[in-house]
Amino acid sequence: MTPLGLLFALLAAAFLGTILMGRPGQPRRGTASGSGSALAGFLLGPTLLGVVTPAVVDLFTPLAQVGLGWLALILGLDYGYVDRRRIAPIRRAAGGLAGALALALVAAVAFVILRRLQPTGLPWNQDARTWIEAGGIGAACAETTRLSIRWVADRIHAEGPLTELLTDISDADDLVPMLLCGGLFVLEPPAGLRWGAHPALLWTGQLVLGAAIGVITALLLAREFRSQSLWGVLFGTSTVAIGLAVRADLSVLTVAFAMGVGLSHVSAHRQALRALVVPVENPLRLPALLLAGARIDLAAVPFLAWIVPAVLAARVASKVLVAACLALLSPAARKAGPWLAPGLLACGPTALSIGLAFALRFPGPIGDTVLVCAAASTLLGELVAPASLKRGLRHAGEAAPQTGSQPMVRLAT
Amino acid sequence: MSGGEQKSLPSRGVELLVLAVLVGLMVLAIRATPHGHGTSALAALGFLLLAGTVVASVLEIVGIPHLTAYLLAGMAAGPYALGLVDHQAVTDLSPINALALSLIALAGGAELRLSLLRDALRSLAWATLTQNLLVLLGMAAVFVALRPLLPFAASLSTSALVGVALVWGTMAITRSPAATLGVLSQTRAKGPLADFTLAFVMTSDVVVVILLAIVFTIADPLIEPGTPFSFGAFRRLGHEVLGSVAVGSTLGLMLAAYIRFVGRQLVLVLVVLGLVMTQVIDYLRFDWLLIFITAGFVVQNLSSQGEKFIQSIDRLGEVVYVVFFAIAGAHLDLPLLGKLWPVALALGVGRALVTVGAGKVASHLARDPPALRTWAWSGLVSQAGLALGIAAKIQNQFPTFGDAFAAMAVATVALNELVGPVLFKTALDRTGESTRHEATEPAPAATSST
Repeated sequence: MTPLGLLFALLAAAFLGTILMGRPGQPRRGTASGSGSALAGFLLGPTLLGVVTPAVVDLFTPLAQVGLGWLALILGLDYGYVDRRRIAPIRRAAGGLAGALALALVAAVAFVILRRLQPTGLPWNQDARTWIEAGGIGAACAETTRLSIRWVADRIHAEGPLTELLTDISDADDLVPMLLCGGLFVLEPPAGLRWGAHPALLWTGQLVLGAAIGVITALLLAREFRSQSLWGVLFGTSTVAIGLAVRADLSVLTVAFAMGVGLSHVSAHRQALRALVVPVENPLRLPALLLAGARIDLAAVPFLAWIVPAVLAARVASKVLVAACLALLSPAARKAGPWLAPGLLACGPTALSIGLAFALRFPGPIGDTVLVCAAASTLLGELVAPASLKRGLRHAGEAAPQTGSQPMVRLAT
Repeated sequence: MSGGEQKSLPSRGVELLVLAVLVGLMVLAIRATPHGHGTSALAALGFLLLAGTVVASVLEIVGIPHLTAYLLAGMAAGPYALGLVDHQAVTDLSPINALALSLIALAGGAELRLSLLRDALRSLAWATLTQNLLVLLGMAAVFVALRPLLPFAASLSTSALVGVALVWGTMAITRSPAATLGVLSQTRAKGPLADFTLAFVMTSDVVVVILLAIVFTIADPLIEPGTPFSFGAFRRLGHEVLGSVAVGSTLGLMLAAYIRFVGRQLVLVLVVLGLVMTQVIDYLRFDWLLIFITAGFVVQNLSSQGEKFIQSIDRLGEVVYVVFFAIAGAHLDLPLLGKLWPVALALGVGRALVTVGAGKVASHLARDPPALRTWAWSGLVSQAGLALGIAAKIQNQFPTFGDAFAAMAVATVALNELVGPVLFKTALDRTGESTRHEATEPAPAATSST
């Protein structure tokens, strides 16, 4: 079988496996962060088995772009909501600040380390490529994934103010990294664009493009909502948004996220749209993360042994700060004690999506470094966060008592 | 692709406005990114899907079938008109086209119920005989008669002309399963004409494959006198037909088992299966149209999962038909059509007349009901991929005149592709089989299933 056929078959097998293993009404299986397919991709990729070569992975770039775009679209559509519940503005702001704090701290550490290890001779404020790399690492390491929170809550049947707070914060902390990606992508003038423009203008352009296509979708769906053209319209507009972003070397994540937010705020059918697209998230996440894993090439990352530990240390520090702030402001968070900070280290699909987006837009050391840092953060989170979260929620008294089998209270995903 | 849904004028105005904005965005993107040709397939796909949907909705007012509207949208957006979708994008989208056609073939097979075939057996048998033999021979005669208008035919010897005319005749008996299903999906038509056309078009693929092998065996020595008479084509035919039916049956049984024992996310499974299977079938050199028709037929008739299966495929219709026909429209070589249209029109009209005549003869012999006697031919005018596949084969096999032959075939098929759905939909409307003449059905509510 050709490598292309092999990858098709792997994608199909992995995809079908997920479908067959997951059952409605049961907690999601697999890793807490939902990033298991990235591990499978890493095993098959150039670092270990070498079954899937970079050339083969490149063939799937359009598929990866569509996957990334749809994941960002779903994030945007769901931004500010947990299922049907609207997240309170104060919590949205808190989530945004938590994401921004983690991003800023990790990016700052990465910037300093990169400037030391790879001196460019440029003044710090003109060193665009280092800013892009450090910013990308920061964006990829900013989130606390809502998937891990829900995974843990489902398993220990947790319910209460801390569970809700963590769910809200983890849902809202994607805003800053998603928006920042657009800014970082245009710091280096996009090669695809004929007309040069100030990065701020291009960044705003991405947001406007995404939001405008979101509004267009809402307009079309307002007319079509009860017709069978629904999927066609949604698929069409999202593909136009993703396609235009790819063509112009802009950030697919930012444009699609803005589209989701625009659509969510303008359309009267947000809940129905959410019900339509959320079931697609898992099947999309799987191939996108598989491709992200297959793109990881440890040998291609310069100064790996310095950068990755420094970035992880900065991420831990940032989450300790966030946990401390939460403990100061929320009595429920205080009850969780020292387990809260490591619990916030969970990250996964969003981090890896950002890593993959950078790897596609900036092939070479920048993209490889951002992707590897995202993968390292995900691995650390997977090892540390679920157990810590369980302990924290138990300390806070929100886990159901362990009395054998009982009906499950499940947070719907 | 919803049938029976009427929209207000302001709704269509909003849709046109949105389309104008999208065209503006695409023009801006093309101007701003002149070197983005290699990366334009995604935007092109989305644009074709939206443009097709909106144009179909707007042209519905004047009774133009959705399929024709998708084609027109593709033609307008394609590389020969506005250039919003370039040649590279059209080429890059070809795997999606193959996937769409595989799903269409699955749907076609699943619509072929044994009861339907039994009921229409007499009509089908006569129609198969007359529509294939009379059209093949009739169109070969038309081709010979139009020789003065065909520059590439002037230099052919008489025997070669007869050989090429027979191949043209074979190409003329191909029909379009996609167009048939597309029109039926839009109109939700039920009745003898809908049933007959569906059954005939789906089963005719097998007949065409067999006739093609026979005609090539006869025509080869006629066109190139030195070529020995060979039955090799029949060996390949046996491999292709039997292998395809075997693979299709296995696939159908596997699908039925999946629906029975798992039954979730069927649409996504079909898409993944289509992607993998088209790769595998290309490698094995089987007829994938026949494979997917057989698979659909097996699910429908050898299991109890047919309805569930059809419902799942129906959900894809809104995307599949638009993409397939809009890409086909973008692919149409408009300058070539502009150059060859008089001859193409003559050949197209000739084919339509022979088809009408053969339909009348078949209906008379089969003692068909009045609706079939009048309109049985209407769904058999559309042509698409299979005809172009034969033209490409001729192009490769006979380099001396193959290019001109293929160009003529593309122009003729383009006309049939545009006119065929209009004729079929008109016939369904006139016979009262389309739901336009029934009370408006409640439109399906959005579901979360994918």
